[in-house]
Amino acid sequence: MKIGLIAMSGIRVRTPELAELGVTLPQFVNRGKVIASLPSLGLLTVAALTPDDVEVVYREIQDVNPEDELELFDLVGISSFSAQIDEAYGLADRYRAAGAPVVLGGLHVSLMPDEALQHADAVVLNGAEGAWPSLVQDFRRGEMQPRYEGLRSAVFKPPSYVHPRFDLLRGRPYNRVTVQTSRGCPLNCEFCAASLRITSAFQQKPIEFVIEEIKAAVSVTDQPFLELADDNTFINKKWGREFLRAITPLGVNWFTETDISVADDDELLDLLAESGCRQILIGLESPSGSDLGQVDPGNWKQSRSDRYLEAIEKIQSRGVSVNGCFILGLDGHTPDIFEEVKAFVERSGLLEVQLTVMTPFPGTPLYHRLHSEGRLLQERYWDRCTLFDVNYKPTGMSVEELETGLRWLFAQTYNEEQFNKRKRNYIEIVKARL
Amino acid sequence: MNTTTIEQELRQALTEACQKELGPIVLEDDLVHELELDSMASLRLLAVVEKRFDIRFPDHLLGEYRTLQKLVDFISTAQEEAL
Repeated sequence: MKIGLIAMSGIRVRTPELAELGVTLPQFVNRGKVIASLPSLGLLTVAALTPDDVEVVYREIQDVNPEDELELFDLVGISSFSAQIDEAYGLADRYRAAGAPVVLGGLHVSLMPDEALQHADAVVLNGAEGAWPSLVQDFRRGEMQPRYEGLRSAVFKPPSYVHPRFDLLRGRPYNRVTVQTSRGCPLNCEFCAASLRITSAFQQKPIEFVIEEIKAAVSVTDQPFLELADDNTFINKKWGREFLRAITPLGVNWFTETDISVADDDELLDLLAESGCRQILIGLESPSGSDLGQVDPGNWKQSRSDRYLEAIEKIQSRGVSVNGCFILGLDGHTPDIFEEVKAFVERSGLLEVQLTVMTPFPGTPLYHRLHSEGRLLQERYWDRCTLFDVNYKPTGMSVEELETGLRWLFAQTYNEEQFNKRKRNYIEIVKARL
Repeated sequence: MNTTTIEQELRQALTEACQKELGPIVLEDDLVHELELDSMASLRLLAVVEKRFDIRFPDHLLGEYRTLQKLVDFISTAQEEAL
């Protein structure tokens, strides 16, 4: 028996003016390339959950030429995100027409299972842990069911927990490999469409598992750069300090996502700097606390916003750069927000900046709220869930003002001159520490 | 400092900064490609060179100094101008 696992990921823009602008903006293009080149950790986990006597083939969508005949498998597993889900459905339809049963999974499928089932013989909801072994067993007996629900808790406890099959990446030209240390995030931001939607509570992997995975992941590339596929790595500071002590001897350079509270803990910051961490991505969302009232139920980000600048300086002074993320078009944002973000970015010394538009991913609380308020521009817009295309009516400006402002801010922020200024700032920080 | 000495010091500085031997890298090789440096590692490498040789690369040309030859030439010129 041979199972083909096909990963679909990447970054894209639908609005033509933004797409045109995107190809000329160096930092935007750089991050896009990074995201597009990340392997699918979910499918490597599926592979690890597959019985040893089954042959597993890992493919990425770039490997599948639409002009060529389909590579034949007994069963096909496809994982994708909202923005590419229609392409995933198209590929699933082709495979099914060719006689190969298809299983769909991933975050979008978990939130929209009925839609996905129109293009699949079965769907896997939540993660593959607790679901995939049963699915394979049923398939072998000719009794595959349409829905399999993976675990929403205790995901990192054996026997449900397995090491992802990083060996399947050997020989591929990855410049980054990914390892997950946790699922979920207690902040529970309204817009978030990440792993918190498929977990019942924040879950953290035991450090010994994480370290074993990192060793396996970095062994498949010559010059590994590690990206932790977490929503928020340093929620638990005690766990964080222990993890940093454990990763330091590995000599790996790495990146992760967390929140601004990482700056509260000096010991953790010092360990972070020594550990090989090169950059942390932090969702700042908006420079002004008055715009952050509805972002998370506990108003945590709002309570922290007045210390953003101080925290960024504290982190970057250790030589760890911050990639600051902003969401444009939050309720309460007016056309003034674009100038405000530009000024904040310049003042902050952030090495990298991620600018996105508020995006109601299907199934999220934001989606349900905007739907109930009649503010969604289309009923079905999944291919526009790119983080760069506007899909709703903002409250403080028109759709056109948001689109125009976003393009202006892109041009102001991602141009060569500003990029060089941010690079110079980082060089000076590093020099001060030598 | 002559260019041979600059090159030797540069190789030593880069070896320390990258924590690996430069090996057979020649003057014209692209360091970012040969050492497989990510964007932040490239900046850290420039920071090390600036500090070691007490120089400052022009901000608008930070992406240009990617070979030993270009680094040696810049350092050599900067040192001559400083005299």
